[in-house]
Amino acid sequence: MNIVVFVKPVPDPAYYHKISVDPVKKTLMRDGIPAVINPTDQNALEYALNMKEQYGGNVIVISMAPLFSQGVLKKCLAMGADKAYLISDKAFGGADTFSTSYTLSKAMEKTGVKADLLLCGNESADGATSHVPSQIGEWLGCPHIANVSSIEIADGKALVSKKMESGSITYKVKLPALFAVGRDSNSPRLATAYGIVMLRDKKIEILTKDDLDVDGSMIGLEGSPTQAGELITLNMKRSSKEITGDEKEIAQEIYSLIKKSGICIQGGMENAIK
Amino acid sequence: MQLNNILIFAELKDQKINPVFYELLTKAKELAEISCAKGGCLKISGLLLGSGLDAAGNELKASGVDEVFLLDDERLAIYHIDYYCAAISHAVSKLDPDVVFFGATSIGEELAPTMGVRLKTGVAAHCMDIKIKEDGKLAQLVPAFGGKVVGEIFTPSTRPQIISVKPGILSAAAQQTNPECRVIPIDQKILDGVASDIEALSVTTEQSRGISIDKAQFVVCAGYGISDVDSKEDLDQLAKLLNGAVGYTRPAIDAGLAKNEDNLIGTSGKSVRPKVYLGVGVSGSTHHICGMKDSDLIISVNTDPNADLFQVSDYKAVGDGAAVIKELVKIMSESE
Repeated sequence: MNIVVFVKPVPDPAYYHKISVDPVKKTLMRDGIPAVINPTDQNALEYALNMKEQYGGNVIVISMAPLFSQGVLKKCLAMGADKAYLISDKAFGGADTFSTSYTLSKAMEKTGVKADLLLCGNESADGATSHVPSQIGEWLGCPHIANVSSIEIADGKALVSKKMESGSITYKVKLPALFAVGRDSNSPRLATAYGIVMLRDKKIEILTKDDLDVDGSMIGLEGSPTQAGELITLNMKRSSKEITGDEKEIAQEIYSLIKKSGICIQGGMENAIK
Repeated sequence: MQLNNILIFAELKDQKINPVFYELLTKAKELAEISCAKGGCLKISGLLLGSGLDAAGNELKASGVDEVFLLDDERLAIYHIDYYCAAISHAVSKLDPDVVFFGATSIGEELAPTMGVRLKTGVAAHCMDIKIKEDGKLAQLVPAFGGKVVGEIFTPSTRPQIISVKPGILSAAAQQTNPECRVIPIDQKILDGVASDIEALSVTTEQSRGISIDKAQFVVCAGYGISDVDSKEDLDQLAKLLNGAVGYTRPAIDAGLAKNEDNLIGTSGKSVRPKVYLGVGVSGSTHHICGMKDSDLIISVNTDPNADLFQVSDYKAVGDGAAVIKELVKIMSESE
């Protein structure tokens, strides 16, 4: 069984409070924030590695990112993936989800991998649109389902559960198919010392624009149907009156604010009925 | 650039129109008013897909839309991406809308990007607002980078512009029924040609436990600063005492404070507007703030005096959120 996992290096979400907007240039300042594997992509990789353990085969990782993101792909390999492709070219820069997914689908074709299963994380921590998985599936012309919380494989088909607001829908899907998995669907493993040693036999292949059979008008910033305008800082400021004192005093003050707000406090309702 | 038609996908929830539709409709009406003031005429159409749609069809007809596209077919009883996309493509080809709205629900988050590729057009995800700029262009405001800012997104040349909005982000206002609203049934035959490798088997409905976070009067939200799992009991206890619910930020969930994302507050989770929101150890990323900024009273506690959440709070306290929660539970238990 060949499983392809699409991963995205993202700025480490633990540092998001350090991202700021340059007040003059109106660009984001994210210097010094390390890149990590997008959290849900780790869940996708965990699924893939599990499936490999169960059914054999290969796990191939594909990522579109700047060259300096190789460390993230190395981590995927150390977790147990067999091969990685890094799609990297200045021409791909500034791509929205439409052209990103187009480029990734073209990269997928270029690898020549006959995938049985394609997996993505359901959303990225930075952009968080949840678009790319469905759109890769659409470009590749394979069935795709997002927000998947479980996958079982039997007889060339996958039985998957799609998470809904208040429950789930179960589908039977013919393989090859693409699924996007959420963060609470499994617990991703850590890279092991053995995995790190095994890195020396594993390869990250870099593919540029010239390696792919892409329509130049469909890639990068120019190929993106959506264009970014200004970055705006919303004015949502409130009075932020300060509550002072130690934790006990703070709690006292918050309690009186809650009481004043008129919300119903437990016991209140029952007493009223009595 | 003139807006002439907006199509809103009216998702079903328990055979009724999902409330997010009315939020989208209210925004569409607002855009229509602006458009009409400039001498244009903007028609708003609703699209309803499903099986056994008599009641929901009437509801949509009376909602205030100018036109209803409706496809009532057993194959649509359970949501199925390929059948749904075929029907949406059909409605789009008939109406030629400038804009298509989706609620960013589990279904909408899949339909919007899929339709983006099928129609070769741009999709703006999780918009917080949609505005007509002075030059007539439609600006879609999206939270950018899980951080500090909101970015404008434009779809300059392709049509329709597809827009998704999370439930609870926009507010819904009562609308007047358009007495001239027409219902246009879509021919069931358009589904006959759909070849799909997906088979919808069954729907499982889960009973919700406790008070749902988007309806709770009180929400205590734990952020990364409360990553100590021992605090979980205090949080649950406090929520119980106040008939409320516990919410989490993305970093808190990543740190293992919650098992799943059901009570994630933010643009990629749930939007809440309780009477009282109490944030403990919440730094306040834009993704999070967008999901709670409309709360009546916002109180936040953080050890970091520069926490961004303080700026949008009515009351702030510099201190250890976990300790404050513990004290609050103590005070409330004693005062009973």
